[in-house]
Amino acid sequence: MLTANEKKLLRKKLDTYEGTIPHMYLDSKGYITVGIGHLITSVANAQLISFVDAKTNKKATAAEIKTDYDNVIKQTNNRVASYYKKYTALKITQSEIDKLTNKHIDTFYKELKRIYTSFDTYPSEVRLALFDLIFNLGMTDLRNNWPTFNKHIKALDWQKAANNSSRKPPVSAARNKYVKGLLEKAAQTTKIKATP
Amino acid sequence: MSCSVDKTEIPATWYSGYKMPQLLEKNIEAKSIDDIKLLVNSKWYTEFTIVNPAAPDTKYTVNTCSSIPDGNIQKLYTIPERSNSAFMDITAMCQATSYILKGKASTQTFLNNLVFDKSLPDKLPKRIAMVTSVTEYRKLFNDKNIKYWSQVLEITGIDINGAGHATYQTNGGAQELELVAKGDFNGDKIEDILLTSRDSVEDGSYSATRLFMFTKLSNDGDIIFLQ
Repeated sequence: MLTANEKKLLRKKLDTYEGTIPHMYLDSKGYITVGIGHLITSVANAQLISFVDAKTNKKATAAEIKTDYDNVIKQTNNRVASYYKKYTALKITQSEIDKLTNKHIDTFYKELKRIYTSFDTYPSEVRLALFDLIFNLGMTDLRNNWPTFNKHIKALDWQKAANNSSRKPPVSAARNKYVKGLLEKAAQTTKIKATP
Repeated sequence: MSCSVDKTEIPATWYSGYKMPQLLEKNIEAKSIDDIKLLVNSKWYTEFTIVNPAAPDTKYTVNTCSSIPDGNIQKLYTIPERSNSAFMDITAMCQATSYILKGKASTQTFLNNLVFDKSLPDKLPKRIAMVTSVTEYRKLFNDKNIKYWSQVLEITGIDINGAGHATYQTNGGAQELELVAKGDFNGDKIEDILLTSRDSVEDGSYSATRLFMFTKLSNDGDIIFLQ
């Protein structure tokens, strides 16, 4: 599992690349989402999250959460997340965002271990790189549609994995460089350790 | 919704997949080619701060199709990064606008029987397939034995959303295909089509909008990727 420091670093990077949105918004598929890509599947599901009034910070009622949900769900999807703010009155706090993100990290950790059985033994940089990929690509795409990259990861060849780690647009060059850099750092560290 | 042309020709036409009007600050109905001309300089519903990786210190604010810097749009990315997908969606519609404005009436078409059904993945070229890995994408295009979309991805389900609009579930995600326009966009008098693929992955944040131009040069021929 990731250490507390690694989790903190991962949350920071996810904030940079995925964005932290404290109000409900629609993702590209038209699903209600909040925080760092936390999917809300229903009104009941939304009511399990600690929303507060964006102006007063007072704890939101179930009815207020339903109002925000109903207002956002009827909007057009695939807009910038900030577009939906005007349809909401509630937000979630940073500690609630961290709580939801940590849950995601735990889920993705289990999935990463299913794809890469030796995941726990990988260098920290490799684990952070794989977390960034799975958060963005999901488990099924990463597992099924990245055969070259996965072959090199499983062979512990971090340099070759780095060379085959780029995602297509709209993933930015900066994000691809971040993941490649992590894997290259692991390759260099491993090389130094292996040198007698 | 078509431009006025000689009756013997097939006019350039746009469909519900042409979403530029809905992406503006004020909705403008695109009933004629003159309406579409107005969309080029019309303000979007939001503005984006973008960066070109070749000059990362220079930031641009863009809020109309005409304000996008020249060059490879795909290389531009937004600040913050999370807006990239919405930016890609809007720039795809700007490209479609540009093609529609340059489009001419065609005199021949071999695309009349193109239906958005379960057989489409066996007909459309491999380029339409959602491939998120740059390495696998390159491999795919060097592989001469692979020609069609269905040879790249297993299509596990299909939702028909209307004529010229369907969502194809794949092993790992979904591609929502929508017809944007028909017309002669490359000047050979034969009808071409513009369509978008809105790509998403299962349980991940990746999503992309890609605009394609395809044509067909004979009844028995393959659908050909143009741009």
